[in-house]
Order: sequence, then structure tokens, then C-alpha cells
Amino acid sequence: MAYEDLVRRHQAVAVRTAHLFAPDGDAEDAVQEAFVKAHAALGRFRAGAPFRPWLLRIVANEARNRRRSAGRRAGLVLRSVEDRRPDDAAPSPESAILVDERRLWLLAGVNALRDEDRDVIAARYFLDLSEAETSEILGLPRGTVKSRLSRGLVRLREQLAATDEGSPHG
Amino acid sequence: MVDRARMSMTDPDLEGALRDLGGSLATPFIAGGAGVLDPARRARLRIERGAASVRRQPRWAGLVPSPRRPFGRGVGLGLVLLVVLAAVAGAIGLGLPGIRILQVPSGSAVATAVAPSGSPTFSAPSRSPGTSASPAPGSPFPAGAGTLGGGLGLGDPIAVSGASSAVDIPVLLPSAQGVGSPVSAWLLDGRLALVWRVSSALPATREPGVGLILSEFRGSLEPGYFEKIIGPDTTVDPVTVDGVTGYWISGAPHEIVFVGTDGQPVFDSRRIVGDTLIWARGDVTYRLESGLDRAAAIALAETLR
Repeated sequence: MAYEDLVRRHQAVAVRTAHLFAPDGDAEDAVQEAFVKAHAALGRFRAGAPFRPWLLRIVANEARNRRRSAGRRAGLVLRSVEDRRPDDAAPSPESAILVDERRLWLLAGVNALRDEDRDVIAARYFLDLSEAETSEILGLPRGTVKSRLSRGLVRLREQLAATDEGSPHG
Repeated sequence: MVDRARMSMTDPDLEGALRDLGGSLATPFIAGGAGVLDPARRARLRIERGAASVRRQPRWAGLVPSPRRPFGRGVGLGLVLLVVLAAVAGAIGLGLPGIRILQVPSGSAVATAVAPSGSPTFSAPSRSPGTSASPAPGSPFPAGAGTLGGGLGLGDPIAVSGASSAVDIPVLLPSAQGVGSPVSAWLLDGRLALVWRVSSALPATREPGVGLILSEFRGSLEPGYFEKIIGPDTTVDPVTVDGVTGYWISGAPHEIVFVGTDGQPVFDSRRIVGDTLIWARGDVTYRLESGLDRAAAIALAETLR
């Protein structure tokens, strides 16, 4: 299979990964750069190993490096209603507002986390990667992923509590 | 009022809510389909481009006619033309409808192919049947440097008088008054380039002495494949040339990439000397580079006979 075809199979998740790790950056650009770097690093790819986490690690590194070099700190945002997938359930307007309110509340907490916590939460829950894959793409030992995830969730709860306490409706 | 239930979420609840949130996050949309310059293809183009600067015979060379692949077979290649505008400085999109952005490192392959001695070393041009690396006996110009257009990556010099027999397409020349005849002709992988001197009818270009370069080669313009990278000083405008659609590319230097039907890119890394008018008639593409403005370039193009 040609390299272009190979990486294209993982392109959607690669762009999503780059965006989750550096929401303010140009995800397509980061992915393009990562694909070029991955090509140069193919000699270091362990034959028989899963390709996707190896590729996503390069993508994640590229995105995070851009985030650091740009010195930016941007938050993730919800898809607009127009961008919802066709298979999304169409809740009543009232329940849609409640669901979105809950998501926004949670997202605000995630966005307030440090990069280190947000990255592990993004990999594990937003990308829905296994612990092993999370470990691979973040370049962390499994044990560190577990402890960082646990700590990240504690901090997220703290953020959410702080959000509620600061809410005029709280 | 804040939903107090949120505060008492169990870990599995919180994890489930995070997964749900993940599915609701905005993510950049990647356009799909043949010919789209998505990150995978852009990466591929860059990889090929990098390789081309160090290999004399790049992998994609077989996509265009060469001695090992007679030019006649090029007819069946169905090359589509992809025009890519390379910004000299960083690539910035203008957001024109239907045009995507491709980022390519600044600097041209030509620039990176300059030998330590300072003499340009262009990638090995293939010769088409019936041509020779040396000029034909009686040729009005010597081979190599010194010939008008030499050093631009146009290919091998051939005799102007032999240009029409060097390619299997009808070679057209501008019949406008005062333009005169080309002073040199070049061939690179079946692509013919004719060069005119600066004159009262042909204002100066970025290359001293060169007033016009007319390239003619087999290939078709596919608007669906028309993509670009563009700098703040380069624009692309669709125009009509003698009843057919063409493109006027003005401003900063650009590059042209041919893409075969198999998706293999072919970078034409020659140096661009002026604003460009490009159009196709049938399966032949014409590219006119000059110091003329758009209207004058179109008018000149429409005199090709």
C-alpha cells in the first residue's frame, strides 16, 4: 500500500488528535507535518507493532510542540447544531438545552485543566483510546497514565465544583 | 439552578459524560474525494519534493514521457494538471471558494539544486525521441549556459527549427505583430518551452533578456484538481482564452505539479520568470509567462496559430 493511502486511513483520527491536543493550532497542518516526519521515521517503526498508535504519537507530539511554541492556551468547543452528525438523536428543544448545558459545564472544567491533565483525559475519553494506546501516544508508562488519569479526574471534579460555587445559580 | 446531581456523579458517570462530551466536540472537517489535497496527499507531495531535490531521477519521472517510455505512450496517461502556487514566504490562504490550501516549504527545488560551484544542476532531463543533448548542426545557439533561458530548468536545448518535430503535439506560435520568433527551444520530459527575447512587444520579465516563455505539453487542465498554495502576493483568477477556461496567475512565483491518474505527483520545479497564463485546448496545455499584463497576455495567447 502506498504511504499516502496508508496514512489516509488514519487521517480523520489524526486530525482529531491534533485538534484535541492543540485546539488553537492548524490541525491539518500539524497532521501533514506529522505524516512527513512519520515517513522519515518509518525505519524506526517496529515491524508487527500497531501502526495507528505509533502514528498518533507523532501527531500528538507535533500538535503539543506547536502548542508549546505558540504559547497559546485555547479551549475545545462543542460542535454547532448545524454540524451535528445526521445520526445524532434529535432531542426536544428543552432537553437539548439541558444536555448542552451539562456538556458546556463539563467542557469548561476540562478546558480549565492543565495541559498535562487535559491531554490524558482527551486521549482516554475524547479519543476513546485504551490505556495502552493512551500510554503509547503520550509516551508515558502505563502506570503513569493510570495515576495521571486518576489525578486528572480529581482535578476535574475540583474545577467543576469551583464552577458551581462561582455560578450565580449555585 | 445547577443540577446538583452533577456534583454527585460517580467515576463511571463522569467517564461516561466525558465520552459523550468527546462525541460532541467540534473537529476540523477534512474534505475527501479524488484530487483533494488532504494532509495525506500534501505530506506525500512534500516527501516527493524533498526526494526530488536529492535524486537525479525521481521516482515519479516515469509518469511523463521519457526515452524508456516513448512520448506516444504519454497520450494514454491522462495527466491532469494541478497548479500549485508556492509562496516565497509562508503560505497563507485567501479563502477563495472551492480552493484549498496546501502548505509547502518556501524556496524552490531549483534553489536547492545549486551545486557548490554555483552552477545550477537541474535534475536529469529525459530526452524525447528525435532529440539530442547537443544542438542540431547549424543551431543558432550553443548548448547549456549562455543560451537564453538557460539556467531556468527548462530542460535540454534543442534547435528552434526542430521544435515541432521534437514533440508529438502541434506546436503553435503567437502570430501577433512584433513578437517575432523564439530564440531558443528546450525540451524536458516531453514538455516544450520556447523562449523569446525582450522586445518592444515583450516587456522584461524577472529573467534578464527573456521576454516570453511559451510552454506546450500534453496534459489537460482539470478545474476539479485546481488547488493552490498561495502567498499574500500571489493570485489566481479564472479567465477565458479563446473561448476556453484558463487561469491567470500573477504575483509571487509559483510551482506547477502534474498529477497522474494514479495520483503520483510530478513537480515541475523550474524557475518561474513572470506572470503566467495557463490554459488547455484538448489534451494540450499551454503556459505563457511574460511581463505582459493580463489582458495583453490573453490577447497574445489568442493569436497562437
